[in-house]
Amino acid sequence: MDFLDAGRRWLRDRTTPAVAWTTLQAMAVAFRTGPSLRRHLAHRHPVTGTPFTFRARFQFSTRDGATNLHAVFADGRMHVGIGPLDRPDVVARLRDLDVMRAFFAPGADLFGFLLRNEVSFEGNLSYLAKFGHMSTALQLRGRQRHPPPRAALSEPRGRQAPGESKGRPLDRSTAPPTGAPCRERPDGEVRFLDDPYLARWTLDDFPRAARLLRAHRTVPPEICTERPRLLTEFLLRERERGAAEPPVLRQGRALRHVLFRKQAIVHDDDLFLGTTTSKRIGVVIYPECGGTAMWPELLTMAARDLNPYRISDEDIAVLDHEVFPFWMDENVREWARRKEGDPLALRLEERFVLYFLWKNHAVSHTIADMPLVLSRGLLDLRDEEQRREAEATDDGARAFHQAAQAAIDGVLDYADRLADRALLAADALDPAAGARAAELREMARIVRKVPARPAESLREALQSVWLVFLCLHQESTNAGLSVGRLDAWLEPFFRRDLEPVADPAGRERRIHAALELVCAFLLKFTDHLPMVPDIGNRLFGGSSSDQVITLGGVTSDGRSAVGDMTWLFLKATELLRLRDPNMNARCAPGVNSHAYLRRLCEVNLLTRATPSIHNDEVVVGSLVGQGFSREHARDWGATGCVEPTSCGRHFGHTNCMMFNLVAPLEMALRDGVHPLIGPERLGPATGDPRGFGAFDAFVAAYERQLAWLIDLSVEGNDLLGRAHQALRPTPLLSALFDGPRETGRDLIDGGARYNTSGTAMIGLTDVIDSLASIRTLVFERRAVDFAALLRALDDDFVGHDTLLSEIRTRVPRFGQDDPLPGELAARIQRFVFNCFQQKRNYRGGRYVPGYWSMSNHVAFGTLSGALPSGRRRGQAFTPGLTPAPLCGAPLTEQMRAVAGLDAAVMPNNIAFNVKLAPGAHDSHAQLLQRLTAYAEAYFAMGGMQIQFNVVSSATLRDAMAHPDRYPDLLVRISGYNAYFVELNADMQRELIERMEHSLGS
Amino acid sequence: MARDAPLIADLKRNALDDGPGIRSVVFFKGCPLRCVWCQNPECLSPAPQLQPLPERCTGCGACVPACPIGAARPLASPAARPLAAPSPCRACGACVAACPAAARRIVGRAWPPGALVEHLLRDRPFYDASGGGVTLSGGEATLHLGFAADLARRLAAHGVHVLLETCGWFDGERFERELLPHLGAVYFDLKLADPADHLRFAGRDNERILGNLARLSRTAPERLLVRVPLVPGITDTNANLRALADIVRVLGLPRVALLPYNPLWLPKRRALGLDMPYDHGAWMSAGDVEACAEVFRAAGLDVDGVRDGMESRAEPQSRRGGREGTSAHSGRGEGQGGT
Repeated sequence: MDFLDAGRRWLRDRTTPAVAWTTLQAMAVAFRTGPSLRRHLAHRHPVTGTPFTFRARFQFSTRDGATNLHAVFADGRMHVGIGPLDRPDVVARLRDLDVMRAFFAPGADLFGFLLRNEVSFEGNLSYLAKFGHMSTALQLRGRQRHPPPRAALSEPRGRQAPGESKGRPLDRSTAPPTGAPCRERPDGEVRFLDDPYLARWTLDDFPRAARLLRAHRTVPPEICTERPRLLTEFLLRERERGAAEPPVLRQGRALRHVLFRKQAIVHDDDLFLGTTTSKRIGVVIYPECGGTAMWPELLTMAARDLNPYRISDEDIAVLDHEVFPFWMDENVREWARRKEGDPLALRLEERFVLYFLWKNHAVSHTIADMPLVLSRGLLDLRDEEQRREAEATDDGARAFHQAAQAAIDGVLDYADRLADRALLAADALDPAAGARAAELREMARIVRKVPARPAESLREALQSVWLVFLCLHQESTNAGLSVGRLDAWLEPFFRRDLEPVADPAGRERRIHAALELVCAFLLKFTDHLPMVPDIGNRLFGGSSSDQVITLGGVTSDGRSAVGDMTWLFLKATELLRLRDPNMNARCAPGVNSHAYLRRLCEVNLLTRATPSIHNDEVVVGSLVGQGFSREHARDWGATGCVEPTSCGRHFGHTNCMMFNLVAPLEMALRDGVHPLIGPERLGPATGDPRGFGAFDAFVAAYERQLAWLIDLSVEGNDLLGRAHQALRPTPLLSALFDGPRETGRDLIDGGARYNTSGTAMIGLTDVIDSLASIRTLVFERRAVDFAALLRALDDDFVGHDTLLSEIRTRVPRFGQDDPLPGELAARIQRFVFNCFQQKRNYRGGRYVPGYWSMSNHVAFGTLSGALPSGRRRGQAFTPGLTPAPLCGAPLTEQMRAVAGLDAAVMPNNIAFNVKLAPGAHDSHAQLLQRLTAYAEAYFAMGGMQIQFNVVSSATLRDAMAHPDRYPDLLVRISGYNAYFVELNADMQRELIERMEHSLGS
Repeated sequence: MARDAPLIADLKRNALDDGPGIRSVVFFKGCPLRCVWCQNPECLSPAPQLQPLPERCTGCGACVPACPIGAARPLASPAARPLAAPSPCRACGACVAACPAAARRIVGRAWPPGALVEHLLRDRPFYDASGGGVTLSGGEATLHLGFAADLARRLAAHGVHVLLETCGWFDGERFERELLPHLGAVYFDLKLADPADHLRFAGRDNERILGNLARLSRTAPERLLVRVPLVPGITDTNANLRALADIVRVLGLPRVALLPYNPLWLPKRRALGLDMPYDHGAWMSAGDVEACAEVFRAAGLDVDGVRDGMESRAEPQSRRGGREGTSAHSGRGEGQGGT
């Protein structure tokens, strides 16, 4: 029998290369003979006529290097051969011949290969993406390419949720609890709102907002190719005329080209003019960053399970033939790879499990100086740039000022065309629709005025902000670009609107109008989504553009910044329950009123998940510790998720990387080998832990692996930063900032007054709990030795029940009142802080660590093995900086542990997730009183940030099984909000398994 | 065992149902009564005691060789009823130390008052923000009047609101002199009006209890809340409730709180090896509770704490894993505890 098996195996292995060769050869023949396929290999740009030939060298190798195949694309042909290649563009490394067979079999699941560490890729991923697209095109040839799109909602089928029980959920109402509103007065902070809670109004009082909201919830997102097409066309022509301008000027002119040609669109019910894309809800493609990742999905994205996108045949052709071919060698990642000969820092990033460098996709995470736009207007700013250009003494500054003018010209032209469009739309209307025509004419009047000139009313100010913001998204990726302190900035305009109106009825009308404006304004931000390829859906997902609006806090001289507009924004947040804009609120205890904190908690209770609440004093203190003046620190707003940015003067790519703190732990356990990347040693040789005589030796090994990975991730970030300097300066954003105007340097070149790079450190709780476990069980109780522990980890604890239960019950965990986890947290956080602070980024600024995770705690967890903390293989890590589900401590104890951390070593902020189950029996007032008390006490103990999910696991389980019943169930992941039903199943499970604290009985 | 050096069975933080606001609850060990429905049977005896937590047992057998008198058995198999009564166990704790799954614990730990106060003050910010404080429960805190009074005095000196949950069986004069001055509120449990029934179901008659209630209704009526545990077939009879209502009304107290029956104590008592004279296993329906409330309303009393249904009163699901000591007590209705 054995002999027979061995014989079969020998035969299979011997024939595998031939089978794979045949598959590739069949593809080559098809591409040679099928005219519709042939154009994938060579074609002309339909507008510029530029010829394109796909030239790429692919090699497929087993990891032992013994078996090699290749496919070479050249001269409009595909050639297949056996053996390795010189200078391959892409190498696919397959674990062994079994994997090679599976890889070339029809319907192979690429993600599964990556997850099992069976396949890894090196080289130009855009080439790989194109290859993926071509093989999909081949498979789908003659069939309907993409089935009609389904509804926007994900997975209409119910899924099996963990611990699912039959029967009704405990938390009975799917609607948020309602009841008597609280009536505490925000003394001194509100001037015009007699009832700052605006309790008299529901969404029914704002039919336009209700219609816009329905559109947001029902219109399927669609890929928009307008921006990439225009940008590509411009750069192709530049290249053809041999232009060699400084990058900043090229980008300024490119943006002007895009904005000059951007379609002016007016949607029904719009109160504000300007659209991010040409679609109702558009998915924006940034091919200069990771845009080509959509290439393999062009024909299938409309039918994918999770978050499908519509795309027209025309747009498929635009991307496939015009856009992606240009960028496959010219994107940020390829520039960096070429520059440094494919450095380890970037190659390792592609393994997904160590760190995720956001610069491959975006910088964005910052806040423009919108008050500058509102008070001076773009014309005045343009004049200043012109003057400074004339005064400039060096070419670099001259180029920057020219670029800024070009960019502003683009915005002004687009605004003007929007006005024309609105007037045309008004003229075309039936005279019966007189009100809408008047509205359109008023909108046209406003965009003729702003953002060119200063705004003078709330409506003008909102229009100005929106128009400038959407133009910034034509330049910077829609990932974490944030809006800023809108309540404080808009307050003067609201007052100006209200002051002349004395009679109560008139005031009521104005306030109603103001709230409608705010609702319509917030809904404008939902007109676009970030592009998420399927692997993004499977690893994370559900995220929108994460455009943070920050409310409350203090003014730069330390007074309460809460005002009427704060309360209007809170009411709009309550009414709309949007995931994005991501609402964040600053709360300055003792300066802001208690009523304000209570109202924040009430809105959180009603929306279940928003706003996220920050302790202003602590955040300001941590910024001052990083060298910000107190005045500038007080002017902070959150970006992306929670990260503090001093508005309009601080370019801090606050999400430059998402760093897996558990990876160095896995490496320290195995003498530098990472289980997903091994078997070769990756990090430094820190010794076999089975030989460690003391706990400290293990922590030291962990710290060495950690420092090595931090060095590497920083090297990768800096390299990609230089790629952005070469490819993607942002003159429009720079023109709206404190610093670049004076220095003549773009933000990406260090032109801002404050320059930092912010990181997100993920899995700290899992590391602390693991270290506490090792210390307690291996070195103190001597219940297990390292050898047995490692065996248990390799076995994922299967067959090690006693050890697992000992870990679960005998080990102190982060979140409990025990000195050990607290000391470990302090030690690791201090170490991380020191590692980063020693470094200076490519702009000369500091690296600042923070502890929040977006959704990468799920992604990294999926790819990680079992841990000494008792966490099983593939399970999500703990989100943000939160005690683990196994912690078990009561909420007060957990809050005390989190509040006890030193904010000075986590200046990029934290995300502390608390899941509270509302009691079925408690009144709104009781729940609110408790929620407020938790927040207040946590802040009194020095807590930095907190975000409540007010939803029970039972409700989430029900939503997982019946997504159609919960289309708008809002949840907070780690820093951002999502609609629960749009999350992948792993993320849904992670939310369900988060420790649930009872908010009532 | 000295009267004034009691053992503490448990400290429960983040309690939302043992008085106003967010509170910490101190469960004293030892009770003068023997109610057959006792919610916290591990608090009946004033002595340290082994509490088995069978749901955690993995059956590994590590406890067996650890026990010096050969009494320990794994708890996982249904055949292994943990401790036969009378148990030879001396609560030495050897099996607890040996158990890798923390499936056993010793209930009853002596706390120096200073350390106890320090521990209770950890949640001070939550008391302040919520109008909460510390609740003394049990068992019966007044069984250790000197200690309880000292603890309450120290807490009150820190500005912490102290609430007592009591069965009412104490030395009224000494209570008023030593403990009452430091209390912000007294939750006084009233169970059965008939002395003979009281003796039968709670181990003593109610003469002293009613005397103390009368006394407190004169000296501290504004701090006093009478609570009636609804125990199916025992306290929830029409006759008993009417009689209790009369007592309360005659004393001039305006209201009562009702504590609907909670059967979660049953497995706890079984695991302790105590006798099971009463084993009603069902929750009350909303209708049952409402009918009880009607009796009091008919007597002109206000009724607090009537809830509209009991089926959601499941064990909190949050306790995944958890540590020793945090999950030992049933959630609500602790006042029915040793009282």
